[in-house]
Amino acid sequence: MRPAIILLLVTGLLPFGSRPAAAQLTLTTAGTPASMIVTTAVAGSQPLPITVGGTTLRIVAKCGGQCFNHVTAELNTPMPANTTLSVALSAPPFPETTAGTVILSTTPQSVINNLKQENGATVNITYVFTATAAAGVVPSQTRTVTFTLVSGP
Amino acid sequence: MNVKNVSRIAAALALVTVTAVSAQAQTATQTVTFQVNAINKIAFAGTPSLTITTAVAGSAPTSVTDATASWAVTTNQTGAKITASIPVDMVSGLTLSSSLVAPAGATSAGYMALSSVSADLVTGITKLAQGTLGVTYKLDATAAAGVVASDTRIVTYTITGGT
Repeated sequence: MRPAIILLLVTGLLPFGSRPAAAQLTLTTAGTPASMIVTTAVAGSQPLPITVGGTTLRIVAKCGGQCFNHVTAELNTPMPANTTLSVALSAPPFPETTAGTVILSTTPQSVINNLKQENGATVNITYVFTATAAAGVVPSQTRTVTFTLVSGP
Repeated sequence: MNVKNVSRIAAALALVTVTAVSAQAQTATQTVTFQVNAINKIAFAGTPSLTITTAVAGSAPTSVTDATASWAVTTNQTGAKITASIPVDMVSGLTLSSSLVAPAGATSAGYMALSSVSADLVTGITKLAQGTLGVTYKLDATAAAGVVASDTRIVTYTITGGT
């Protein structure tokens, strides 16, 4: 009798314990960044970088209890030699922290840290494209930037 | 079913629940487009001045030089070159020359007499950004040039992109 009661209690508790599984974690981008074309330089210095804003990332991170999240960003393919693509997300309206300007690669890197709970915040995305003279002429190319909202510490 | 087994089942269920939460991830993507155009930029600084004032007896007037100017270059192409010209030729018996210090990996032609026809001063400039490079002007005169009043020439330097 006692084991049956314990099992009943445990299974009865599980629905409460599994509430975090119903957590809502969503990321949504809005807008397409303008093409970034490096066209000039100050003589004696490296070509001038190009900065593009105007797009946003909406974050929803509703956790059924305490959870820890972070947002990462990565590229689908490495950038050409002697060029970099960086991303910076504006500070969200909650106490979490942004990682500042992050140089993107094919390895996921945190762009927002310590995200605990967010019912829906929109942050601005800013990209910076740099090329040194050694990069040479680079024909138009594209990269896919993937933002990922990951739960867990 | 005893208490120990029930506890094990409960622990397993709890573990599955935790694992399900920690594995959650949501993604969003953006497509970024970029390119780099051909860039060829040069800049020159300084206001050099040259005056011939003397000679060694029996020789032509002594040449003078001015090395106060400088230049800078940025190119992302291969094999760019610098040419120079002046809009009006020098008077007979006077020669104005220019010599540019070459940036890394490039070749300077040394002193090149300036005229209204462009002359190559530096060749083989490839994918670099370098500043504070020396510019030296030289003025030569023969005795036949006589006394020449102060005059000016605008030297036009041009970078021609490579490939």
